[in-house]
Amino acid sequence: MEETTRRRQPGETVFGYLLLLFGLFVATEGYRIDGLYSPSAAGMFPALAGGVMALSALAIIRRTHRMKPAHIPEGSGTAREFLRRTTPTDVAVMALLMLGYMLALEPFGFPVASFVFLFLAIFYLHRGSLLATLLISAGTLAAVYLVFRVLFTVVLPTGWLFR
Amino acid sequence: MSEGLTYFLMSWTDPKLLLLTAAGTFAGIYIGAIPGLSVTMAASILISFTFSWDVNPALALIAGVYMGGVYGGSRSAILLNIPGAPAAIATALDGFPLAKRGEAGVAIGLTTVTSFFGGFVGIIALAVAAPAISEFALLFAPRDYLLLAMMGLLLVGSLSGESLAKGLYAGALGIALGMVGMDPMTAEGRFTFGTVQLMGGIPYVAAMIGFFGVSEALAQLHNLKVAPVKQNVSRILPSWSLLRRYMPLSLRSSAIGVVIGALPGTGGDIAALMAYDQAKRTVKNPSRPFGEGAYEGVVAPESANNAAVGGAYIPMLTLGIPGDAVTAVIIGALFIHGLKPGPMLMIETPHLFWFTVGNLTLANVFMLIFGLTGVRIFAKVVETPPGILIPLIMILSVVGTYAIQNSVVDVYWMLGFGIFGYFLRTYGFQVGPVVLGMILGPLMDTSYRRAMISAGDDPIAFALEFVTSPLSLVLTLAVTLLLLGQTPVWRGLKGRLTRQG
Repeated sequence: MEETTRRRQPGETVFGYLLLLFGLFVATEGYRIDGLYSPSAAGMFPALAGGVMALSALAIIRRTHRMKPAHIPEGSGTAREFLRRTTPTDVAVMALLMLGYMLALEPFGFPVASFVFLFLAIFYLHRGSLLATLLISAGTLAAVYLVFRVLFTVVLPTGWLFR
Repeated sequence: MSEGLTYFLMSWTDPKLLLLTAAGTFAGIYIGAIPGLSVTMAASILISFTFSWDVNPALALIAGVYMGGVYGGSRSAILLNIPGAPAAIATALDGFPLAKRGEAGVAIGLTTVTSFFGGFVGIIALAVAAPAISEFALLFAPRDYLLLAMMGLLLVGSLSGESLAKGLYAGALGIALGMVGMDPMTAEGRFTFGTVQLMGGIPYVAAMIGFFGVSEALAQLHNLKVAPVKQNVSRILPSWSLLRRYMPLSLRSSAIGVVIGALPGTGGDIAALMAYDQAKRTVKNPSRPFGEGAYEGVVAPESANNAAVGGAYIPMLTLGIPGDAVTAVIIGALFIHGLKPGPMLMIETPHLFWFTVGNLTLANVFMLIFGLTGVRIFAKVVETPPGILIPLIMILSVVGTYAIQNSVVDVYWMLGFGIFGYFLRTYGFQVGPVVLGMILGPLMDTSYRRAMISAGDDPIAFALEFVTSPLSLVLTLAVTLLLLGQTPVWRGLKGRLTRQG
């Protein structure tokens, strides 16, 4: 048995159970494809994959339980630690920014949406001055556009809102 | 033979291909060197950008990025003590101490030349072994493919993750994702939940970009505040006597690299660690103790990881089974261009094979040229702050995913996989096996069912076939050994891997 020196991360136990549920779901859905009427049925391999997922999730959960618990400072709870360490503000903000960027891509088009995204993201992460951020995002966007639109001739969304 | 030579020289004589290979190698060195940008990430994004091209220029560019990227990681390992790529983890152990002693220039020169040497050994192995293996591979039965793919997933799952269970979960998850869509044998929908959109399957390039691009970028947000240490770089060209002294070790490490690279699933990162470990155990009088700036400590991993490049192409081109994560991505590119990697590839499209060999050789030469020049500018570029780099990776991931079929739905898939991949990484999973599973899943499924049908749907006859044919028996034993994973060599190595990582 090898030693795991890592401490349990906040939310790791829940994640393990979610993985188990997902494995069981895949296994049942695999079974439901054609009821596994023969060993070479279309659902056999998907069901097997789901089974392996469920079994390994069990092993993962067992190991997680054996780990030293996450270090939770006084006055904080697991949920709060999860938010602080596993999903810190930076990660959440960037994920949301990306989601917004994707939603804006089709209506506003690639140049506008990308510029706003780059500007906000660099301003948030890099914490430079407003002018520097403006210049960096414009420069980066110009480079990306030149390389991919002109050199690689990739089709980029032009946006229907300003047409 | 003369035909092969013509194809070999194609990228050397066609100015466009020559330029693309050079550009790819140059970009690859920087991509490999910049912490946060990885070769797998770049290759997956490039596939979507190049899919409207002919297959040759696309492959030339990706081969250049691959060769350059595997080498490029060593530079930031030496100069900043941050391995730019997983393949350079072992290099940092002795490379950074060398830089601290003021020998960064010598270390870079030595790693460049030995990387070049290792790259050559890998390419020669590819040119010699692949034709032989692909002829042999025609004898493979479906069950052998199933076993080989299982071996690949088990290898990458057990060696690179925190535990075998996590590796297995990731691999099986990839297989399940690869099953989504219309079953190629019965045309039934699998995991489609009655929707038409899912009949075509999950767009795997979107999954690759999500897992390797966005999830990596999100994980990088944790180390925004790590400031790199600057180093002075002196003379780069290593002396002949130094090179001559380390040639035998370089050759030995390259051999390790080729074998590890050729094993399905394992690539340069594991090859480099194994070669470092081997050097540490066998070199009697190192120039300095290992870990304190031994030349041997940079020669061994750098020869091995570039040798693994040629090695990783062997199973990809002959069996259609990727040798590592990057070749898994390249298989995706070949599929998009309507090519089917496998034993028939060498018969149906022999030009593709010799073109690839010639192209890798060219990329290797460019790597040597670019590696020995331009180090000073290089140090500046590598210091690009992550606050600018991360948004850039995200833009490229979005554009790359959109470019495949001009679909925003793909982009949503990509973000979903990116966020899921972030949590997997946070809790000690590797995302490599997921992507490998997605590529290998359909192959494993059809191989399994063909083998089962040819055994008359009789599970006992099916199981017997795994031990009665000599080839299958060898593979079955290998898979069983891996699954038990209890051999002291592997466990010892794994312990060392986790400690170093």
